[in-house]
Amino acid sequence: MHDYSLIWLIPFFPLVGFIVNGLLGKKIGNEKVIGAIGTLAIAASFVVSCKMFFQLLGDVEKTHEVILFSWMSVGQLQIDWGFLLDPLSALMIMVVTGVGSLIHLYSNGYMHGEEGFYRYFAYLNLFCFSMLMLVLGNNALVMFVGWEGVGLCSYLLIGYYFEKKSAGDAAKKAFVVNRVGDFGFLIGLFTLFWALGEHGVWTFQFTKIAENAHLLPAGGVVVTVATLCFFLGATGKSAQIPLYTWLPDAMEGPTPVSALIHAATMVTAGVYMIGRMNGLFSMAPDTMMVIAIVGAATAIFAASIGLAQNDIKRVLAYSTVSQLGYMFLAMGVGAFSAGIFHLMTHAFFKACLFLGSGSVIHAMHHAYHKAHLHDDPQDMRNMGGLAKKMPITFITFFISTLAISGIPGLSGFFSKDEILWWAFSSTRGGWILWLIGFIAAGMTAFYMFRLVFMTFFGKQKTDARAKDHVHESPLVITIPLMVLGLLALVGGWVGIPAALGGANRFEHFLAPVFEHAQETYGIHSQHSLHAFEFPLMGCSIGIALVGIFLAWIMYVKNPELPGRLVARFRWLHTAIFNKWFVDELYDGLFVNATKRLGRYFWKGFDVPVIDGIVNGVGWLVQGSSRVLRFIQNGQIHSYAMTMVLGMVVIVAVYVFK
Amino acid sequence: MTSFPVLTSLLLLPLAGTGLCLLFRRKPDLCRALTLATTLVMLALCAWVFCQQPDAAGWYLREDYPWIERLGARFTLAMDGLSLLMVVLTAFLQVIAVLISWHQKKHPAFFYALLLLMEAGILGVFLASDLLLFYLFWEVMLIPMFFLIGIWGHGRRVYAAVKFFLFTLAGSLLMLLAIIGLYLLHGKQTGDYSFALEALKHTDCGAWEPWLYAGFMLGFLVKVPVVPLHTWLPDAHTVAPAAGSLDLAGLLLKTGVFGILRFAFPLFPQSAAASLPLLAFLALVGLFYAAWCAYIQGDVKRLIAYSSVSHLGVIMLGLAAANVLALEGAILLMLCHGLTTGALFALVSMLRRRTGTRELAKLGGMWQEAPIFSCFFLFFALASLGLPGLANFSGEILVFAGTFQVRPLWGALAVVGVVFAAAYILRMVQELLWGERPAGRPWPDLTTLEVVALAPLVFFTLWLGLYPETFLAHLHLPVKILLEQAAPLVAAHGGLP
Repeated sequence: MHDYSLIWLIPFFPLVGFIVNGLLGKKIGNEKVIGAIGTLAIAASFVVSCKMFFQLLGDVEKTHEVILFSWMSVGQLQIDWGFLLDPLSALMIMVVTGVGSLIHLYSNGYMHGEEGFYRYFAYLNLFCFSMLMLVLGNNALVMFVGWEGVGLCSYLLIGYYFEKKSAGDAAKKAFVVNRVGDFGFLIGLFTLFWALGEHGVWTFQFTKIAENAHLLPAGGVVVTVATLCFFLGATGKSAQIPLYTWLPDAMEGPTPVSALIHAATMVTAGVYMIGRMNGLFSMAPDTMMVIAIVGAATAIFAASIGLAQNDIKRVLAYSTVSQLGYMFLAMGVGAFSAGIFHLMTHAFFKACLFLGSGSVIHAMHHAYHKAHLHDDPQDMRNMGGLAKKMPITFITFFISTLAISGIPGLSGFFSKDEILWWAFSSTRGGWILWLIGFIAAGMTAFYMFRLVFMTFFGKQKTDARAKDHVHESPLVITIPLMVLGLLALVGGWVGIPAALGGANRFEHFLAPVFEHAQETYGIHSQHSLHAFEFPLMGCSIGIALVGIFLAWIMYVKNPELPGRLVARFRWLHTAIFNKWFVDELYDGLFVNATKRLGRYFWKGFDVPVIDGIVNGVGWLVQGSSRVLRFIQNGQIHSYAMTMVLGMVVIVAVYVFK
Repeated sequence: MTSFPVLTSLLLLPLAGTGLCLLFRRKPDLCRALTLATTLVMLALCAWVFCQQPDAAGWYLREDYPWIERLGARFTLAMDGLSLLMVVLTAFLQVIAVLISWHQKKHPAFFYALLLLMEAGILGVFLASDLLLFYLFWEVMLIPMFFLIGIWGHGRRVYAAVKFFLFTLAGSLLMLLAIIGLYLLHGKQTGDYSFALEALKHTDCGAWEPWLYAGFMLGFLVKVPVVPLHTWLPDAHTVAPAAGSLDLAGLLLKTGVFGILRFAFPLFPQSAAASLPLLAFLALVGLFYAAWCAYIQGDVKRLIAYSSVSHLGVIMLGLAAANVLALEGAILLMLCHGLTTGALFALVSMLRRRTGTRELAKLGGMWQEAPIFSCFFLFFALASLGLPGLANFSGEILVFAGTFQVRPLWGALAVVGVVFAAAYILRMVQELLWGERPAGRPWPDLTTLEVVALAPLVFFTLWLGLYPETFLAHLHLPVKILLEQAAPLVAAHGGLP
């Protein structure tokens, strides 16, 4: 007999951590204690998650709902505080609490000496709580609690250095852009609620939605509109076109935050949401096509921007947007399990990359601080040759770079290749989608190795005065790097495809969640194309090697080549370097237009019309108060007193007579 | 049920307190203690009633005494689930109001006396089951507020007080006409001249119905307030003292919505049903117009006042959707809005006491300066923008769900308001809490007393957000009865549940 009733402990521990550090952190004051509380809180929920995960592995029944208590019950509508544990959510809690624990540990070192240390850990715990609610919720509203909660924590953590105006602006941008997405989520949710309600089913519960989805016509307008709205929500949270612009700005936050929230967990919420409602999405082929196209477009678009950035974190940020694009591409072609697989491997290698970059930034910052310099510690043009100075950081970083570039044997290879294969062969895929993903894979290998070469290889370009102060980070930082590096290396081995002689245990594990919809709506990879599997795999390995080779030529062999190329293709470089001017475009289209419209309303409507009315009323008041004054010439106090006493007398007389 | 006249004592206690305050006006400390004691006893009484079960017809308590017999008016008080929640909210917020005006310097005795008098008036409105009695309390409630604004306000207080008084008076005079009209019609038809609500519900008003309904509604809509009848509210709020703003936002506005649910809808179901699209239109216009106005305000208090109008738009939309979900959501949202907006107003008053200004342009960096204040402010601001898990969200989500059941388009438009709320609330949070603090005198953080006053609000904001069942349980029966009595309301939307 398997018992899952203690599942509530998983989000509960981080919540306790948040409350303790949030309320008492300032009083505690001691960094070690605060850090221990925060880290132990998430580690405890990792332990519980492991228990639940392995329990589920050995269980025949794969879907369990645990209801804590009723939230709102009105009329026929019943909303609970309930959790849903199935292979999908079990996997997610492992990723969130596992990677989360490592990043908490890392933060102890990275945030050392920061003012507001307790605030940081409180927010980080609150984030983990929200993310776990998002993942575990058994109905869309509990998921929305988490959905908004992670948005809030992201807002608070991006704005962590709140004295900096750029941080405040970035935080606000993130929240408002996310709110546009949330609006989509809510509209989608209510459309579904209303449409199912027409058939007498009033519910927000995922299992009930899945059970009753067949009441709605597959491919019909309602399902398409609802899923498109949900997808709008996903583009906000997961930084896809058109709502991706907030993520690169979000790098204003501390680096571990970028690793946890803006790479490994929160930004994957959109992918998870589609996975959670895969039955519904499968019913809407048009939406799926939109998702696949948006995903592929984002993958190549963001990768192209990543080619020319010089800020180490910005390169990684665009890389994240691009990799998320791959996940959406997978979801769009119906390769749900491949998408979730990439979500997991990406969590490993991208968290490792961000933490590695954090280690570098930490070292650079430290060195500049020692040398009393104010250079930018995130600019790769000031780095180079760090491999010898920071060997552990370098090795783990290098492994993760190989993984993201799709070098065979590493985690990223298996997941990315499965996505590309499905994009090509799925009944909902097409060779164009594969081609886009294929080119983006080459770009990925190029920009990642460009980053590695500029940072770790060649001569150290750091200012001579700071040069010798650069050294490896302490153990508390390098241990998480080593664990994540190892995961980036071997994490993909659970999903080795049958074509390579593996068992693809990952796909089988998730099958109970996705199989039904895939079978019902005929989503599978086409048998007639299976002959292409090996050649395509060869192609993607080939283009990764080409990307690496180009990066080597340009940044190691011939370091002056990039400058010549930039001079030759100045317009292209300007466009890429300035992120294709999308921010400027949005500013012009939405932000400035709104401001102008607001000003127009204000000057054109509010001042003459509303104020006119108010003044008219004022005039009326003055006129009538003259009349009132005439009637009411007594003193105000005595007038009130008469009313009061009169009231008392009337009440008293008639009640007690 | 005991024979102890609980409802009558709920009215007499604050009146007695008023009398005592005036009696001991030379001893402000005693007055303050008396006032706090009175409000606490009231709260205890309400908590006791809250734990009771209603009878089959939905009444917790009913008390009926003869009053002006010649007119057929009786002193009838009745409490069902709806009035129970409103009464509990009143009793609760009034304790907070006393706590946040603890250091009242100007005419303290008179101030506390007025607070208690206002409590009596508001409770009377929520409890009266006789139209004449209701009208009496409706007017009594205005007077203390008029003086609170006019005497203890800041800035253009007399202008604001008179504006407030005239707007609401104009509305309520129309309502009085409608009450008399209904009374006469009913009397003529049945020969029984009575102001009793239960009796009047069965009046056949014929061609008069739309006019009588309009009279009632105008009185209520001014109070809500619905755009374009709202312009008194930002002025009144801006100048009102802390306790005044708290009562205004938390309680007075609720009397309007309450009146619609208790009187206008059940008395005139046909006209009410016909007016629902118009109500929805006004609600949506108000929601957006006020949100946009909030966005451009430079004065924090005015900003919150507009946000309050915007929230009332959601509540009105719930009324216009008129089904179980939307109505229960709207009533729940009334409680939530009372707590969160009330708390924000209290915080802004505390802010002004420290900084001497409420202009966003002159503020900033509060987080460094006063972290406890900032935490409270952020908490209530987030609750106000509808963060799930906190109070407003549970009400809003029910209203949206209910609206989608009958009119998906209205619902979709209302959800757009979510984005607007985020925009103006975040602008306020960013300009007030973050960034650099302007140079000048230091701003001390909250005192223990202020934290004590705010902590219960935090507690109930969480409670309403996480487990609104406690409160919803009292609403199922009254909403069901309302929808049965006003059957045309349901039919208006094609008989959906």
